[in-house]
Amino acid sequence: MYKMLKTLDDLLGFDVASAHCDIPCKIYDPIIAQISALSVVRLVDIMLETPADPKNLAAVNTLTRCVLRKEEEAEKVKQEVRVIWGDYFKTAQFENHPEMHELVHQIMMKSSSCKQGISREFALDLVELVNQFATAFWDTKGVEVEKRTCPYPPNLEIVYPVL
Amino acid sequence: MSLSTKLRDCVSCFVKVAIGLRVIRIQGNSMMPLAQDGDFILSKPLIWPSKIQVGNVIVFKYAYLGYVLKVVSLVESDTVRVQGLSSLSAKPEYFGQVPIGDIKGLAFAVVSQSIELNRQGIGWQWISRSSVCNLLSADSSVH
Repeated sequence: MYKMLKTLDDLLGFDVASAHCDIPCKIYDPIIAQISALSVVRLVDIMLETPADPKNLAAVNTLTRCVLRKEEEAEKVKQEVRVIWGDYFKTAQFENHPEMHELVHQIMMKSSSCKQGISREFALDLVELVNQFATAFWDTKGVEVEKRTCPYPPNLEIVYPVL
Repeated sequence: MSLSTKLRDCVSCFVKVAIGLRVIRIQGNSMMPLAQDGDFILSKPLIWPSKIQVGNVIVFKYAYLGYVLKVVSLVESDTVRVQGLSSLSAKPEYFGQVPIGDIKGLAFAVVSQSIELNRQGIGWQWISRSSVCNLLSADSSVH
């Protein structure tokens, strides 16, 4: 039945109904995921620098805020990457980047690890994985990229498009 | 209501449905797992607007986007609220109140490539409102 309708669609062109996930459509950029990944590192840094003294209310306040924000930023990484992977990437892009499914899955897992703990190593891994994702994304658009150190803490290298 | 009036209404309804049956191709994945990008849905016209219910899968016209496929999540007096089934779908607030008059059809079956690949039945599946409601409530859980 599907094949029959597909053939008819090719011949007649049925109406199309949008069932897109994100709106406005066709606006995709991995920079949000990259900034969120950087934020995770920064938040881990702040947490590691903050004295874990339960009697120090200011420190408790800072730690609490950092935990909440780290959770949000790690989730944002997952959200942004999932949308680009699920909506933007199609067969043609996957053919050129067959590693994408595995890479996205690694980002999901690493983001979850960053939520669970305060490992700086995991957070750095997340930045690197998202950089790889951004490189592949810009490659599908024929845009060259360059690695530059971001001009704010945690001063890590980020993939930027050369526009 | 006389028998002839009933008969005339039935015939009129049948003709409206028969004429209004449409095949529509889906673009996007916000209706997963019910349907995915490239699948087809069969839709029938909305004969009785007052019968629209939560869980109905509707095709409606929306500015800039043309036809949009979503699920009714709330029915108000002359409008409905809609949303997708995927957790990544645009939030219901984006579409706001969709006038019932803008509803162009009710989806009643999905013809999916995955169904054909899995050799399930005759290659389509009916859209059941109860299963869509289950998917709606599953989507509102924490991810």
